Amino acid sequence: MAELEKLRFTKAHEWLRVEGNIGYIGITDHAQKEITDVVFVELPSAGKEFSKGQEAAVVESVKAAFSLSAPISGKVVKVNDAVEKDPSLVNKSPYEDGWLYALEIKDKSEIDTLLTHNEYLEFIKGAGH
Amino acid sequence: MERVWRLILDEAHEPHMNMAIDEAIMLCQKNGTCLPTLRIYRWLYPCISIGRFQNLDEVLMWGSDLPIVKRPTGGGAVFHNEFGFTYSIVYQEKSSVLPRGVLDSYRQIHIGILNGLKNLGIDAVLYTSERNGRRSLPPKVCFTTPAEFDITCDNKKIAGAAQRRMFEVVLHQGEVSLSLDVWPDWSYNKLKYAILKGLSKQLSAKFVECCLSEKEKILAEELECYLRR
Repeated sequence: MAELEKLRFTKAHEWLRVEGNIGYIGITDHAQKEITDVVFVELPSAGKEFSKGQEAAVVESVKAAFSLSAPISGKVVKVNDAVEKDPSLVNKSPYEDGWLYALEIKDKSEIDTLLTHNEYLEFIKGAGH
Repeated sequence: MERVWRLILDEAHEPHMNMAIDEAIMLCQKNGTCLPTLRIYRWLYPCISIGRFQNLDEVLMWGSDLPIVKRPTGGGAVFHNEFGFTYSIVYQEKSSVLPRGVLDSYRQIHIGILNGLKNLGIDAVLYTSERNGRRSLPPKVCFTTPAEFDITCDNKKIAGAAQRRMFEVVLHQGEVSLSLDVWPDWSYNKLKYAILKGLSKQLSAKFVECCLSEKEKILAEELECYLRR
């Protein structure tokens, strides 16, 4: 079971899990419910560098394609091949098996600009979701 | 409260330009400079638009001679012909002109269109499916199988749509396809005004006719070159 309090979140419903200098990224449980059945994912190539806020991946359901921005700046060091083969992992296990890609973190101070779990829950409530 | 929307009654364009214009409107909304926008447009010639993730080679194997263009949105292939009515809606998620959720926004838009169709005497309904925990997959051809909140008439899908969500901006691209057996009095203008009326009422929208901005035009031209590659 993922420890949500240890994750950081964006208003675009992404989560970030930091392990040393690596940040794992995925979409939240709230987002996967909203998106409904994920049928395709387009992940970045390893080695690609992103600035915070740049489009890094796309997740598609029957109704909509969602662009996901990099929550922090960094270089892609891992992508989740399993989720490319079976996009339903994003729905089944959004915080664990359904992670999307991992970045080598360029600037750790950017992490502090992201929401805590409680702040994210408040945001969802306030945003009229 | 009634909200002001931009209405762009566009001329017919080449398929790539039509997609480029929709994308340009979406990208310009990112900076918060535009009003929510309804664009109604036609195609210079019949063509097929395919979803962002659809495999072009697979579609080419269908053997159709029609030109094919990729949409920025998801979903299945759509055949655009003389009986089609194509539109796009672009708005910022935080603008509150539509509910934030995908299904909720989709439903609101299609209720507006449905009401327009009913005013033309078309006996259409909003399709709702029993999910029963089953995963739904997108059909390869959009109009073969209705999905939740599509519009059907005699169990045949007559309106569908797909969305792209990027930088908190929503691009909703939709198609209403009425054959003569569904609506023998087929008229593009009657359909256009009925749908406008239906959407205006459902979305509490006051549509003000506008043109694309210079910035949108320039961006669309750049995007078209990119899409053609």
